[in-house]
Amino acid sequence: MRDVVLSCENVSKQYRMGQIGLSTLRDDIDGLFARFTRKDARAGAEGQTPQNGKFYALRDVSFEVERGSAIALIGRNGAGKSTLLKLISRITAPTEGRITYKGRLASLLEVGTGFNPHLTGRENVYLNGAIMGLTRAEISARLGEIIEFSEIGGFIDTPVKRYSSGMFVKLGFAVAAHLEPDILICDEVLAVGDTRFQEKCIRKMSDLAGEHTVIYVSHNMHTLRQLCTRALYLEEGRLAYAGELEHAISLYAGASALRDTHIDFANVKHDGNLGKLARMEYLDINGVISCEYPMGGNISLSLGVHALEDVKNLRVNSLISRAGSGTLASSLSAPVYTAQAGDRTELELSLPLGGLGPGEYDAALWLCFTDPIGRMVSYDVVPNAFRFAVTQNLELNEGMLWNEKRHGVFRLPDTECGGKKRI
Amino acid sequence: MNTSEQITVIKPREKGLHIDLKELWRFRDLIYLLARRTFVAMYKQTIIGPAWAIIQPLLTTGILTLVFGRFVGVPTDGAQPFLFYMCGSVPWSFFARCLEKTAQTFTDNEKLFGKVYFPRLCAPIATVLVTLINFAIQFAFFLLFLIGTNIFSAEKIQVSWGLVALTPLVLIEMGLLGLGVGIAVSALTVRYKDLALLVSFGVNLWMYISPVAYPASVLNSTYPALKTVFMLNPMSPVIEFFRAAYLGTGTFNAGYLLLSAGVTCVICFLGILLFNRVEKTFADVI
Repeated sequence: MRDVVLSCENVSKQYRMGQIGLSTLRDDIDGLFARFTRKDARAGAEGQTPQNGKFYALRDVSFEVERGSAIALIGRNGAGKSTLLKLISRITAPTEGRITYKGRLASLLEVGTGFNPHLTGRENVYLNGAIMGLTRAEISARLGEIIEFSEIGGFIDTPVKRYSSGMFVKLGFAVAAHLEPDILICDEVLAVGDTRFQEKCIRKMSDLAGEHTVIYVSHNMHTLRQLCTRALYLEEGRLAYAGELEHAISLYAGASALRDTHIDFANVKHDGNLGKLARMEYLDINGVISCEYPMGGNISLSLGVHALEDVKNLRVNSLISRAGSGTLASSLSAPVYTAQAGDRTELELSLPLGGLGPGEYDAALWLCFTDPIGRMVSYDVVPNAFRFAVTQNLELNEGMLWNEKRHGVFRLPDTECGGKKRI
Repeated sequence: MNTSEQITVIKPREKGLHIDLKELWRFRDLIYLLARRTFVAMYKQTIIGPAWAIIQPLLTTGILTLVFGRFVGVPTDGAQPFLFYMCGSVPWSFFARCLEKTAQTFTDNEKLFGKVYFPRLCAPIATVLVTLINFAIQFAFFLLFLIGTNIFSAEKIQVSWGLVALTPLVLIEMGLLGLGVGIAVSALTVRYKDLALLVSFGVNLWMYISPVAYPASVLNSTYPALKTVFMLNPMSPVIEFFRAAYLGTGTFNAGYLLLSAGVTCVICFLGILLFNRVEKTFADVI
């Protein structure tokens, strides 16, 4: 059963453009007069001047977060990430919609908020804990762990104004992470500490994820890949995508979205002799709209091939790779394609994904022939034939979320136990 | 899963009064720690620390005694002048500080409120508690003077013990009044910065229409008709109460004190109403 800990339903946040907060009593009184005296004139002017208009920092955002997941929140500056976090952390109220969450929520929108410079580290730990809704007894129980994690040691009784910025961040993170909130929200807070501590924090957060829920905002894709499995991608205040991290990253990176299900190879450039004897003309990806497959699924393809000469016993080789990495895996077909010059054939192919883990991949197609001494002779190659995504499959993985950082890219066939004997 | 887990619903700002006492109670440790933070931070790296709390009312009382008691010759209902002025200025400064400090709730906590959530009312309540500690120090000092005078002077002061027992209730009333006005002002200053400049000025004016530097009986003799209007000021019966309880003088009237409590409730209610309106979206405005 799905255990949703946080849900947003049609959440919108509207801001007024122009100068807010700088108003004085006089402005408001003027405005009040204007409403009575120049009502129509004002209404007319408002439509034309966008400076006085309203804009939506977030518009109609809905999503659900399950317990134990680590969610990345991705988007360009101004996409609404901070606004969303502020709404969830109850710093400001939404204009429309509602947000519901279960349990305690701690947000680290900035490390060490609520730290008072004049108080000692210890006093600040208590204060910060209380801000997050803990009682003094609960904080005392965790104090030892916090001091140890923060590496502050003897400085815990020194006023925090004498701390270095690194110590400040360490203590701030240690407090938030050890208060065991049901939902922990972090906004790029780790950018300050040194690399070693950053990694320690990420380890801590991935330990938290599983039982607790972590929502992490960062522009650092490396960190996100280490920590998160799923992502929310915001674009101009709207939730553009919710799902696999890799896909969200590629959206963020501006890479082309998942392509059409019908792909024409007419424009593919062929080097040398490639494509002269036989040529792949088009590809249909069948039975899906989004090219997302659960882990262990099958990609069903129809490949249009045009034989320019007589060809015999050609095979289709699919090479799977990921942006920035070499080929990760290949799948070969049997020698299925034999044709006479001029024939046009559509091959029905089924590409099993096997143990390929969740993520987004590129597939290249090779039409080739294995000669008697085992060499592979290529007839035609389409380098980036299509892109697909593999999604979590709880059924296949016995209810476990596949975490690339922990489990790797590929799930090998299961280890078998051939027998037991008493020793 | 844990079904007893608390469910929080975040909705758009609504009109009306929202005061979640249960939530405030859950955050009682925070109120304590915020008060502690303010208190410790206030006196850290000062030489005489909390002794500053005593110097201020002593100087105020000294000046009041000198100017009003000696130079102007304002009557003190027969009470010893120094005690008379101290009995007025100590409670007054408690109220005035409550008001002035809570009026800065949003500006003082701008950073904190902008980054973390907790019931915003925790902050002004903690402020009132710190002010109460200061008041306790000052009032203890007043009591020392009172006992000293009683021992060394021929005339014995008629402390009315029945009224003294009511002191905690009156303190709560003063605290609530200062809090109510203060948070109303703090809510308004978020939008109208001008008000912040008016606060200390306003508090000063308020002191002159309250019987701090003179007894309420002055009005009885000169403008009896104005008396009721004067007593509508919720601070007037309160200060008269202190004089009646600890010095046995003045024109204390239980009816006026009840009226003052009623006015306090109304002001406090309005204050929380205004505070509610602002607290949810103040981060967008400030």
